[in-house]
Amino acid sequence: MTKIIPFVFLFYGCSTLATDGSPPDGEVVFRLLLNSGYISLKNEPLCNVTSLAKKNEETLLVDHLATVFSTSYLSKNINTFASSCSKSKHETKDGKIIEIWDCNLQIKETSPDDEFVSSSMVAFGISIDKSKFLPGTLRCF
Amino acid sequence: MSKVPTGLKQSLNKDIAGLCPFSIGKNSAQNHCAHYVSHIMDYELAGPTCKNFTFADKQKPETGATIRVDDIFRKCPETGLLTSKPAALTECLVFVTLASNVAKVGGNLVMGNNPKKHIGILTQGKVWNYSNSTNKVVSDLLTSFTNKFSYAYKTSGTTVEFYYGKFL
Repeated sequence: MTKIIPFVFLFYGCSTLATDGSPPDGEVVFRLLLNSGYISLKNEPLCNVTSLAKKNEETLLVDHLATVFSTSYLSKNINTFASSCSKSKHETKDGKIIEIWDCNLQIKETSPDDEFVSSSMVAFGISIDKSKFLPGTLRCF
Repeated sequence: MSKVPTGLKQSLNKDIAGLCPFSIGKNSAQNHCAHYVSHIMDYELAGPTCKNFTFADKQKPETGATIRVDDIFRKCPETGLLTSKPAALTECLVFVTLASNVAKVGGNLVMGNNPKKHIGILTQGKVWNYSNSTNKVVSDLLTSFTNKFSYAYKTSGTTVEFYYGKFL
């Protein structure tokens, strides 16, 4: 029995390292999102929005972020931000199911009287090892 | 023959969670106006829906609904300023956004990604729409609807504009 215990700990240690259940650090999430600002939204079927601020040019993620971040600019309205990540799955273009961190940033604009004015959500996948933004996972609401 | 489903009246005062079986229906912080209209009118267009937003929701058997106003606007067979709506068109979709968020592209009106936008179903003089402040379905007289959103979306240097769209 005493010989088995070290193997049990070794197995437990390996499995915990491989899955690492803690969500990515918030600064990592936002760095990965902002570093992906220059991807074209025409390649993101669930975030293929049109920015009319840039006529006759393709819309990039940075253009969409600029629009949704600036909704209360120069007004008395208030934007509140909420963000989170949870473990999920994603089906890649070649049909593989991979584990990901599914992250989202939600922005809600309210009036000074706390009435709802507008909202938006940008959801995106991060690799399970927390190192990469995953193209093809963007969703814009 | 009306294209508005008979179930419309039963949706009055309902929370979106009571109309949508997917996780996004439980998120009361978001704008559910297009989501509500799509569930009522059975619109499930290309692009984000309540069903395809998460992997877990995609596995559910229920039908999804379009969640973005601009996706519905783009697919309407005819759109125009509400002030130019043909008098004979008594049932249609009604859109509101900033004038700067709509442009004519290739002969068609296109709505942009500005989040200040809303949609409702006009029938019998009332606009059925989702109130995101109270999280329930409301039915406003058309004049009340235009007054409400003219006030809510108006900021210095912007123009609030209303559009009609024929049902898909």
